[in-house]
Amino acid sequence: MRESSERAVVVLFEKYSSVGILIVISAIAGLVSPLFLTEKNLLNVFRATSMLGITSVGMTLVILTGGIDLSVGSVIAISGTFAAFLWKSYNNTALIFVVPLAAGAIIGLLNCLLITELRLPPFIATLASLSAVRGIALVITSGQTIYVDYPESFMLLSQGYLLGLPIAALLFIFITIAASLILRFRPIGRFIYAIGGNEVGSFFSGIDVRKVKAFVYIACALLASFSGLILTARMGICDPGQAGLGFELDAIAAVLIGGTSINGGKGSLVGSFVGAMIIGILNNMFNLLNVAPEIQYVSKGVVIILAVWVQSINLTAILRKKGGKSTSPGQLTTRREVAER
Amino acid sequence: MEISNGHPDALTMLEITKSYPGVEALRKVSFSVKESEIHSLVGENGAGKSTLMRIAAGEVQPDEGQIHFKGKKVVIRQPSDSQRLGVGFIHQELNLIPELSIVENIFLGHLIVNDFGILDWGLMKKRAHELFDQLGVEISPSARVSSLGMAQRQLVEIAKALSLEATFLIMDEPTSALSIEEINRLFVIIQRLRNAGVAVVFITHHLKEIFDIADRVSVLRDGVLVGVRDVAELKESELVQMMIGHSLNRPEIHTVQKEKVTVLNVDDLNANSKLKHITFSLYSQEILGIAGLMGSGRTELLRAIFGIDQIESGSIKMNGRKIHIRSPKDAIRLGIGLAPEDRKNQGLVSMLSLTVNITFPFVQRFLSILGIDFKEEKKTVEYLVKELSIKTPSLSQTVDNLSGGNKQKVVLAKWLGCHTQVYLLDEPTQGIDVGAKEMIFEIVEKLAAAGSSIIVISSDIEELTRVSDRIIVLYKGGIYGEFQRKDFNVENIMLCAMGKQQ
Repeated sequence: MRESSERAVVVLFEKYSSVGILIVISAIAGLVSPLFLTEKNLLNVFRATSMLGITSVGMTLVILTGGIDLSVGSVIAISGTFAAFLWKSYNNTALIFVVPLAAGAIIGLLNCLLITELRLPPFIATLASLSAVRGIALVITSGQTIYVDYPESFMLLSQGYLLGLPIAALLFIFITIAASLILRFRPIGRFIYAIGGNEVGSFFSGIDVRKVKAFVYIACALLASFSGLILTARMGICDPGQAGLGFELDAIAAVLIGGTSINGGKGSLVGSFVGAMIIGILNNMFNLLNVAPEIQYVSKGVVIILAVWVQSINLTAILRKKGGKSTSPGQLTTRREVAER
Repeated sequence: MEISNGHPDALTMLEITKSYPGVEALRKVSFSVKESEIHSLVGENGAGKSTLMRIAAGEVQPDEGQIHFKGKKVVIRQPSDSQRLGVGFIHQELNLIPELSIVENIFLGHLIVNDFGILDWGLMKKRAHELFDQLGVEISPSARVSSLGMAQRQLVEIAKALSLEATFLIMDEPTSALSIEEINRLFVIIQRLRNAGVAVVFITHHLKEIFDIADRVSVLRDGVLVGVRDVAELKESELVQMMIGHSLNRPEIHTVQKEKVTVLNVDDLNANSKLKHITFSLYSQEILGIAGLMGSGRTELLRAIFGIDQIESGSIKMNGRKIHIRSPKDAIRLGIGLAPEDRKNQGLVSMLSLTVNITFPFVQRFLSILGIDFKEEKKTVEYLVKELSIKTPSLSQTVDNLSGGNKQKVVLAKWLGCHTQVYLLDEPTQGIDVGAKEMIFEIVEKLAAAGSSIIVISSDIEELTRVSDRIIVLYKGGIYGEFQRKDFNVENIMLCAMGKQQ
């Protein structure tokens, strides 16, 4: 009995240590600012975090395959730019939904082609599009910020409520759940993990690696462009030079805080959800306390280190040292193999 | 039983016990090696060979037991302690830095500086030359390690150990990546070292090698020393019995007369700028062996058929129809499956579960509206695991934690699960212990009997002659000879593989 409870503790710790960090940070936020735990503020945090959260879903898929997408911040900018520019020029609601998303999908496809056809490393391919895509956004507006009066239906993205929750937050939850279901129940979900675990082995097993990569990079850019729509709806402007600047780093941070391995093959969307919330709450807490942005950056860095370090702790080994030599049969073979190596 | 070669013990390990959580890796194992002795350490995977040697090298600390070196009690806390005592440990996976030159690799841990504190490459190169002379090989010390083959890399490792004045050499499966010729050359060098007074511990899975080179052999089984014997007085069957704990019945694998229905027709195939004019047929229920030295194009042939390397010219017909294979996916759809030589990196996604690994190529089969039907999938995997008697604590076990033999069975289960018609097996028994090898052969036989065709590559020609119906010999990218079962002769096949006309 002791053994199984010990294993349960280990599994809980491995899976949900990020949840623990979330609770600790929320508790701290609640203690230092009486405003934090108000319903209004919490909903606000949720809504503000939704863009990061939605982007992180796509980023998680990419990182699970062992890749990375640095272009999401620029995709957010160009998506908002298209929306603002098209609304100003044509006043057509359908257009400002469809074109930015299509642009996102095309950028994702291009990223994927650079990676699978030109065989560029994902870091380099998406670093190039990070630069090029924002450049195109700036060209479209001649570098100017566009001020727009979006139609009400579009504004729902940022201001609407449904069932007492912000629509943006609901979309964040919905997308996380939908993507989690794909990861768990669809073959492609498995293939995503497989490619991150061992790309050559996956290819030799008959997995269409290109197709899977196309899926994740397109999904990632598409979700980023969707975040871009929420952002521009929220601001009522589009500033192609500033929108989503550095956002890729926050998204990557959220994924890593959520426990996904930067090498791919391991991780979960629930983790990234929590990771995004941790970053969102930190931002909110600092805003409530009027902390200078410099300090915000520093503390975000500290939290990333803490979170990833906590997850790297080998609890099994620690428990063993304390509690003697009990193991479950499942681990027996593991140890034996280790011994043989 | 033991006959002393007259030399004192170089290393004596007394009652070594080492436990890992949940398993006793070694229980009161006593092991000794004399000076000027080649001592083979054998046992199945998990028997504790590597752990014992890692203790001798200071990589692992024993829980109990003593170590004496040249008659003096020593405590070895870390690898540098054992190096000081003259122990050189050559791991199965070599510890060389490919981007550096040979001389840099040899002296990396103990660079020589001149009086001005400047690295004295001239002297180091001279020393490296001397070391290679001592080994009787000609390698330029300035060459990059990345330009060397496995055999030469191994020699660099040996030279590295000797540069530290090693008098005690541990070699963990040094022959696993070498061709027959290379192994023979290595053996000459090992014998030369022995004659110069060096004690050599030689870990291997190949029984033949033990009889070829070792003076004594120690057998470990499940962490316990089963026995120490002089090789000269030992019979192979005895040794096998010691290793697996019971005698192995080795029925002559007999193949029934088969109808000659052509399944695969390879015609004038050129690929990978290595394979030249390959033409052969594969019949139903046939086990076709492919012999050849490393680099003869064996692996490339399977890769070309499986769609990994693009075909330059020539055609492949399957069941009479011309087929175009551009990727493994195409090959799998046509009923071809490959068990690659490099299981860890090519055959499996080791960090994922057994179930997931098995169903990669046919997971679509379990799709319902709601997604993958895990119950159906489990049923199929359960069946396959039983069919191939894969030993695993659970179906969700990470493949990484399975033994070599079971890993290979997982690869086979994957292909059996998608009703594969042509199995391509590249060194299917490499790194697998004796007992598991027999099981793999049994499975191969069963697959053929059930109607599949099999192409199997093996460096072990004896093994090949046991399992194959027919053997094709490759030499420098072309087919150099073909042997029917009734004409099988290990020596002739070997000579043919080395390019000698019959």
